[in-house]
Amino acid sequence: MKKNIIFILIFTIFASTLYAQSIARVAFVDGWVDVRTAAGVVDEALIGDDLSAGSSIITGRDGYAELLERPSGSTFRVSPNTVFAIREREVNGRNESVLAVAVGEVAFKVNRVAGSGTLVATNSTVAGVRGTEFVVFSGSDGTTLIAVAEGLVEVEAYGRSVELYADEAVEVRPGSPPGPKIQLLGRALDFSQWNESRRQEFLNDPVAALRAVDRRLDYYNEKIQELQPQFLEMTERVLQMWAELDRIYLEQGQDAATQYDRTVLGPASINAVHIGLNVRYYALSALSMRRFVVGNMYAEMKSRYITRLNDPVFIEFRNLYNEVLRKFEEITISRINATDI
Amino acid sequence: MKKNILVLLVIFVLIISVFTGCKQDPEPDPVSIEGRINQFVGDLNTASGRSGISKHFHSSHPFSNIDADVLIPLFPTLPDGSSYSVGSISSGDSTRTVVINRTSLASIGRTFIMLAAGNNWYILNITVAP
Repeated sequence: MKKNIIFILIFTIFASTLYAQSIARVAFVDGWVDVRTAAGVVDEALIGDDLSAGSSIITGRDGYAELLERPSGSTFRVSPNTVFAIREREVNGRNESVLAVAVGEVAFKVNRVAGSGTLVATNSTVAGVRGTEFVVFSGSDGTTLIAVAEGLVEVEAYGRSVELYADEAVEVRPGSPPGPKIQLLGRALDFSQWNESRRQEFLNDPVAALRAVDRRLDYYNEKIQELQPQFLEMTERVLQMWAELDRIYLEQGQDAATQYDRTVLGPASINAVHIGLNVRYYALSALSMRRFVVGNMYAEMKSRYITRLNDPVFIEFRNLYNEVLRKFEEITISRINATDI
Repeated sequence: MKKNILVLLVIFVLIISVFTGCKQDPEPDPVSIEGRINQFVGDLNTASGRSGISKHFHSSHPFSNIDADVLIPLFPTLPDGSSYSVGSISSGDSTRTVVINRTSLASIGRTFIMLAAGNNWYILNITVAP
């Protein structure tokens, strides 16, 4: 009897803990839909399953799922061939959920009140949502297409943001700011067709596609190599100015130090930081490109050429791929840190 | 006797898990302009604070990509015994002029341009105080 009580208690502990950490619940499933837990366990998704941070919903070719976010009541409709992840990031010492469309299509209906501040991330952009209905499509080449049905979505990438209202869409290529707004004028976008066109473009000439990406990465690398020495030199000079500031403070007082700060140190330090931020911008752009575009291209090629690895096209592609990685590791890796990865 | 201890242990774990597993405060307190500036300046004083300093910046500005290395010219690490603290903050709409003290060293003036995202304020840009 006591053993039974202990068992029930242990079960209750696990159940209550899992429920408390749940962010969303599976409200409907149809076809092949899997849940991948934060621990990496993949299982069939069932109605009523709770999704905690780190979980992913993976839909197959015929899979479809509807999720209900708690406590906001926002709904997410996950289309076939999609990977939709619920992540968390620390903001101000607290965890905040980030809804990530890694690949595929998810339609969001965000609760107007409780959904304020919702963040939706894709391979190439982050969208801030303020009560709205919109669809996010993340293409196999890392390009994102966001279309708004109602409300407002602010799409931001690489320093440029675009506000989308009803019947507007925008395409964001990896490593690039949002493109021009697309006026939908009531017509529905065919996301399957859009993604297939992006994929076909790559498959028609994979070496040329990777070469185009490589050229873009070369641009980032050149910028990093040009700016990083400037940043280091400027930092050294500014640190000498800080020492001078404190010398002036000790010898002449705060007023003289303030004058030196306003006219010499302050502007120089801001200038140095801007150079450093530019280095970071190019390094992070390269990281995005390497992870989400180059990696995806290689996986696609490896699967297509798995039985003919000696095919000249694959060999040429792989050689170029290795060269891309070599340059990335040589130039970019030193400018990114563990948090970026 | 051993079984009783086991039951007590299980009950103890149950209580702890209920309190730690539940989100006690599902609606985080909004971060005000002054709160954000104070947190930012506080984080300048520790290595862990510096490594995560980008969280204080609004995502729409390149400052959100800042890391500990890039921060150095703007706010160098201080010698032992000295730390950054907020001396005074001006009032205004979304811009604050802040006097930042450095223990036993010269104070500096910086202008913080702030931008709200949801209920929280973030730093959009930092310039030299006029």
